[in-house]
Amino acid sequence: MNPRNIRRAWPAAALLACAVLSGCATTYTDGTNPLNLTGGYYDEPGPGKLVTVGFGANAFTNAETVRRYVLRRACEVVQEGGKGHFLAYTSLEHAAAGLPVGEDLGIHALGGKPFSHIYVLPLDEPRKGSLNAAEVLERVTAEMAEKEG
Amino acid sequence: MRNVKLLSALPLLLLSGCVVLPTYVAKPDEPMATVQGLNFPSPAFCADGVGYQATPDKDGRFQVPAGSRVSLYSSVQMYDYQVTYSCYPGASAVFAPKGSYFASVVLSSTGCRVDLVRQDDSTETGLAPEPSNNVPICNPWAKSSQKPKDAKAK
Repeated sequence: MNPRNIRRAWPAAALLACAVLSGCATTYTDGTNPLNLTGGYYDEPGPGKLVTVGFGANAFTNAETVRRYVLRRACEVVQEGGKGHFLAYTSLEHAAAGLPVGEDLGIHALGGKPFSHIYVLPLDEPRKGSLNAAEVLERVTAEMAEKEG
Repeated sequence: MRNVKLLSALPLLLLSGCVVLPTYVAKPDEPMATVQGLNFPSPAFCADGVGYQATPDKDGRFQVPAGSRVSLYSSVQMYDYQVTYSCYPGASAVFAPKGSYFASVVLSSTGCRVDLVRQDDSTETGLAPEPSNNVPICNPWAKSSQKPKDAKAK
């Protein structure tokens, strides 16, 4: 390509990059991917017998969307581990005290960017306060499809 | 000319409030506990009224004195192109000798705090509440730390 053309194309490319990075809400993507600059989900084993699950979004994403994304990732992690139910905790102290929150994850925001960080205890059988991974996954996926469609 | 520039920067450094904390050196056979920091940046602690910089390993684990009340702190600073967020949450506990603990900074829209729990493989979650968990009683970054009243408490 002619260097003059490259110089002409540069502002348009910069504008396109800005639009891509700032004009859209964070989608359901892996936030640990270094190429993903706008956030996404993450999960890792621990602490203890729990699994840490979270989602960080940009300022164009609303709290309800983040709540659904975190629940969706939690359900996927539980099912990938061969379990069908789980308890969700919003802090280590709540987990230690046995105080699950159900689906009310209490989404917070810093600088207008919503995020959620929870701890999940996968279970074989349902119990008081537990969530059915298959049911929740089906529901939040349908809700997201309805919202996006 | 260069020296003049460096000299002019010296007062700024002195006035900026930067504090370099010492590293705690445990006495031989001194009882210690292990804290694993989860989302716990720049850990520091106060033991017997003196502030120390914690030195975590690659997994975020660091040692603190056991048997007397220790205040645990984290320095959280996040920068965005339009927002700067900082907080310095803390908690204190009387750690059990050879005990294992998890510490995590909990961020929220209204502030931040430290969650401190004990590792306990006998429970369903692998965690247990730490009964001695309380507010911090000493700030490691303060110029003159106040000696805690229950420093010798068991």
